[in-house]
Amino acid sequence: MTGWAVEAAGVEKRYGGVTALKGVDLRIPEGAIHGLIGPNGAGKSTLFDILCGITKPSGGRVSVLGMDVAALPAHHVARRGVGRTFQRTATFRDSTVRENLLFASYGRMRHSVLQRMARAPAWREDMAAFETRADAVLETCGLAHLSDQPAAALAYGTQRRLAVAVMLMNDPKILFLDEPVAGMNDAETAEFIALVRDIARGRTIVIVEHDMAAIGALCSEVLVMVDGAQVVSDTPERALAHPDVVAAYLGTDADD
Amino acid sequence: MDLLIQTLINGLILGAGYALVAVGLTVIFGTLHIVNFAHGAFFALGAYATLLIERAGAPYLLAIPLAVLCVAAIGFALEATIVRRALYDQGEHGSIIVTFAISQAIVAAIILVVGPDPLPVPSPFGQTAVSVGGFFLSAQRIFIAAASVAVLAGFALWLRRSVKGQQILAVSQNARGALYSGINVPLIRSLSFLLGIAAAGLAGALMGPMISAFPTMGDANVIVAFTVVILGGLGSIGGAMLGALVIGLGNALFETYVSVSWTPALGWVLVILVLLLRPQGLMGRAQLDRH
Amino acid sequence: MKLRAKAALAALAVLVATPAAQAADPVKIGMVLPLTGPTAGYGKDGKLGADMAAAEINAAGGILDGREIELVYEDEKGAPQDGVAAVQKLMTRERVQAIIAGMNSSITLAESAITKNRILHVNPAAQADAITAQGSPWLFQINNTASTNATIFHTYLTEQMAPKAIAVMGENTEFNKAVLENLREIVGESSVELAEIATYDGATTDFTSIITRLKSTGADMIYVIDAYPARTAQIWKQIRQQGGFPMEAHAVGTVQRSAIVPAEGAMEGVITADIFIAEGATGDMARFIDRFTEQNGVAPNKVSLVVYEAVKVVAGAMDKAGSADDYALISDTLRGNVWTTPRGALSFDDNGRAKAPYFYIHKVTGEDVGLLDTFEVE
Repeated sequence: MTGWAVEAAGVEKRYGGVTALKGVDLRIPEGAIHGLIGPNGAGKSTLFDILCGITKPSGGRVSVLGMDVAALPAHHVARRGVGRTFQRTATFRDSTVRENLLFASYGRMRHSVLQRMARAPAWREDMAAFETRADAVLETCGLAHLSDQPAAALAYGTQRRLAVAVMLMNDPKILFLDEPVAGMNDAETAEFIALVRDIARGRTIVIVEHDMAAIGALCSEVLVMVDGAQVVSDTPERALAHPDVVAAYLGTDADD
Repeated sequence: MDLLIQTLINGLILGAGYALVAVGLTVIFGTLHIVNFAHGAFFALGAYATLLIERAGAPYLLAIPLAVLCVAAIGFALEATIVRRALYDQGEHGSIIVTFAISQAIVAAIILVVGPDPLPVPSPFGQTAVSVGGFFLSAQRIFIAAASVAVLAGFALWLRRSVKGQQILAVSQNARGALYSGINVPLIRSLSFLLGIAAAGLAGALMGPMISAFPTMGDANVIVAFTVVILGGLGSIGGAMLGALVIGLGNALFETYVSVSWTPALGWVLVILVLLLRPQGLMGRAQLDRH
Repeated sequence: MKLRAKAALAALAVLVATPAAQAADPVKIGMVLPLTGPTAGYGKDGKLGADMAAAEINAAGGILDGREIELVYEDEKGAPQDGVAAVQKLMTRERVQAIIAGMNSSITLAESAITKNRILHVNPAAQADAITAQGSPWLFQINNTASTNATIFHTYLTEQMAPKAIAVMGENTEFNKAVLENLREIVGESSVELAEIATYDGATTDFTSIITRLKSTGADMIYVIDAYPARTAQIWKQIRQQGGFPMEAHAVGTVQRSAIVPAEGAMEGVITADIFIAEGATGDMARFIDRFTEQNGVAPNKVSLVVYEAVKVVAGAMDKAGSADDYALISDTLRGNVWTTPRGALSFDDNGRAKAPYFYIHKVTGEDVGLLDTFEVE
């Protein structure tokens, strides 16, 4: 291992004539909580999508956990230790909390259809492993008492925790959180920050967020992007004090 | 009273047939987010495949599964060459044009290969009618209803119990979330498309003996299926079944007791009412942000 | 002044150029038929008749001193908007000299709005009276009008078959409207009762409930008015499944093999009627049937016959009038002469309607219709 969870160099993305990313360099050490900030339209989401393998870059190199994510289908990237939550709630709304976790676990199960129908040992082993893991994850995320609730019935902040729980089922080595605390109240935000600190042990976490207090509380380093290019990469305090960053934020109304 | 019972039986049997067409349509919409305008063409292919296999000497009951396989094979070829490349993640606009073009191409191919005249699809149930306590039941209709209910129940069970079925449900609820849960979303989409097409082919194979095989035979049935699917909630499988029952019973009652001429309007009036009062359909979920 | 001289010169050039060009140029006739869609079977039958007529005319040296007939086909797909588009394309792009279009009445009405006062239009098969009632000077119809056909047939139903009550079901179309109006009139003058009239939409997929409802009226005759072969077969199958009616009839001119075969025996014994029957044909008609069968491997039906006659009549009138585009003259020629066709002498009245010399009552027997009765039309 290189010691870097993410190594990206000269990442470019063009949509037709529009250039969304103009050669971004990013290195995130293993085990870090790294922030990605910038005004709306800065290219944060595009960079996120490229790191997760959902969007292919137009140029540059991207390596996540040593994988060339540009060359792999997204669900392979996901199965090999990359987790991601979405800006808007991304749970399976019609299913219960436990079913949500089950959906995420099928990729790890090894039993066949016949073994399942016959309730064979292979199936029982898989299900037992799932139950153990699900119980632990639900406990971690504070969802244990809600396991039979339909996802759509959960409070907004709880749904975001469920999205994290779904990802944790596959024990990702790196977890991308897209504006996780947007829309949460202060109490929910505080709870969520505690959850992120808790699950950060043994994994790398990358957060896109507009909430600078949350970024400051969690991140060791942030990358500030403006207009498809990186401006600065530093600790949250120093990065936010950087004159270009101040100018970029003052020049827009993006800090919502 | 007798008239009412006969009408209710008619409606239930009718609804079971509608459900099969509608479920295929809704499975494809649910996971792929494409409106399959070629559904009627695959319905016709199902009837023609049954007819041709029967002509080659197979009995009707064996011809049905073989015909479904043929339709699924054609569906697979179209999925791999056109649908997968042109449509996934492209939204509903492109899908209308592409699936409509596929539909026209299939209908034209049928006219070229088999000809435009309606052809009988032989069935051992033929014109036999069963008279139970003074009520007339066509044997073919009973068979259609029984086969539809059996297939739909099996399908519902498979969706709930199998890994692939669960993954279809996951993808239809949230494709991106499913992708990051490690589900092979492109594979699930292809599978859903094939299942939807196979359901259309099966419906054609079952209904062929009732309505004869002709190239545009699917059109009217698919129009009904669209009202059923919208009524039940786009993408909702339970909704499609409920919608089919509502439309089947509603049409039968309306035709018997109110007016025959206004019956096709009834489906759309129900659709408009449901859309006004419950825009997501009877059993659909509110529109997800697809971001 | 200069401009006018130029125009005169151009006109002169045309005058000089055209006769030479015309001698070689074929006369183009636009054929609008349902080649696809639910009535595509009619299109296929009609095309066989038209091709045979054109081949016969050309083999005999063509018309207007050696000009051949060229048929240009367009598909109306069984839909009015496609019919209109087909006619427009034939007139503007193909520059045909006459249009032969008319299977379904609703479509023919739409098409005739385009051809009115612009081009010679012969409607071979559509029956609705409204088509020829609009006073279009260059529009002619080979088939009888719905009311002529219906009057004879409905009189036959009420007087000869004499049911107590008739239950009627039919698609909501222009043709159906004309037939129903006539039925109400004729039945009104008799002691027969009209138990119920059920008009359904073209999108209807199932008729069980309609038939249940009609059966519940206790009517002893069912009368179906539908011109679509597949639907006709489906309706009769469902009537049969519910036990049928003591007397069963289907609208004039709409029962062909294309409906009887897929009905798989469910139409056996149904009474209908038409201006043509192959059974018992003699003279010119017998020769036509033999020629047609020899060339195409199948016997002609009414649709093949009327389209054949339409091409023959158009070509004959142009030849006699000595012009392919003086429509007033051609129309006068059509009205002022008697035209010999396989059915016998055909003449057109002021509305452009031909009257068939004979009218036949049919009974479905096996895979075709059999002759039950013949009427001579006054």
